[in-house]
Amino acid sequence: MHMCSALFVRAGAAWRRRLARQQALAWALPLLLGAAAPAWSLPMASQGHWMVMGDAESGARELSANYALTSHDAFGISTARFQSPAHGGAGMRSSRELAALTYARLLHRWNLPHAQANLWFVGQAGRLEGEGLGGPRTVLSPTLLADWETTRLYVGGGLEAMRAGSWRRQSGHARVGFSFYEVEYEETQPWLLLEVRRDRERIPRPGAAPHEAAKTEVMPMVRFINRRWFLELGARSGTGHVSFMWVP
Amino acid sequence: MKTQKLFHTPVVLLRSLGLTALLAGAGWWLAAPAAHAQTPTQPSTTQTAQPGPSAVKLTVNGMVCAFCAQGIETRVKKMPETADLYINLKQKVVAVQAKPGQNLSLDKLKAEVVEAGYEVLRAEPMTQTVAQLREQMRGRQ
Repeated sequence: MHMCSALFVRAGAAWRRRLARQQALAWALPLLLGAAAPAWSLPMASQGHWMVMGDAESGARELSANYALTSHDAFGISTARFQSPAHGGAGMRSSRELAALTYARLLHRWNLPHAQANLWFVGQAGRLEGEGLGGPRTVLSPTLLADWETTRLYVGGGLEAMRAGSWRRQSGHARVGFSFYEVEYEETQPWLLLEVRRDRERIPRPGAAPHEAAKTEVMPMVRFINRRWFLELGARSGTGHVSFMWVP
Repeated sequence: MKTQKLFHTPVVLLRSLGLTALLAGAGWWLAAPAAHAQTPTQPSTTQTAQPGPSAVKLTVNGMVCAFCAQGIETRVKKMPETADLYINLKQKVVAVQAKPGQNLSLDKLKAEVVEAGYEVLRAEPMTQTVAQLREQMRGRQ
């Protein structure tokens, strides 16, 4: 009888240690990755559904749609227009246009007692056009995203790399936020978030060393989330920022 | 069941060799081997000998945002026997009410939530209706 109890106690302790390790990992992942990518919190809808996402600020627009073939995989398209630092001088900008096919994959989900944590991969492959690229280029972009959230707290981040010929961009972002109060499932919940984002870009120059540019921006924003949509409004570097997500 | 499985492979072999006639005596079994393979291991939702509950409460881990729960809602509402659904994120509750005269299967509901990507901690029949639970929980908050 005593031996049996000892076995149960040992098994219980091992289970608790395993749970503690999983929880620690789920906490640590977003912080470790802590850094950019699409601004939305979840990059795909539930299986069998479309999801439309958009992002707009001064000089940049992005519109994507994907379809979740399984509960872990979504395929879609994305189009974006953004500005890069030009190599002609400080403050000069070059416009870029991107059209790509996208693939989103839920790599892992941790369903915790009062939280959820996710690790995502988002890949893009397509065409990038713009000044200084020497014509249209094939672009590839892998992104890793991680998030951890409860009904009142949110921590997320991501790392994105984009490459088209000898043009390169690396971005990282981290986000923390909280909701003001709990709501019923059917009601809209307001959140306050703070995002820190760093972009680094390498722009080729004909007959010269590539031009390197980097910037770090901080953006406070409010998010309104409902069952099938969310809307984010923020401001950084003196310009407004809007993001939305919608599951039709 | 074991005997059927034991003889299934040789029967398939014999059939593939064109010797089906030798097994005419067991024609009833040959007629639809696939049907035999699908013995009722899955619980029926509406027509079991012991009817399932008419209201069920699930406790779900990981369901923390409305957007996450919307995936569960869509799946459960697609089930033909679902009449009403209540979700409470804070209490981790998904409660389902069957249509009048119909019953729910705990296993089927659990499978839908798991397929949506979440973990079911508990699945239990309810004596109260989903409408009553909704009122009770809203009153508590």
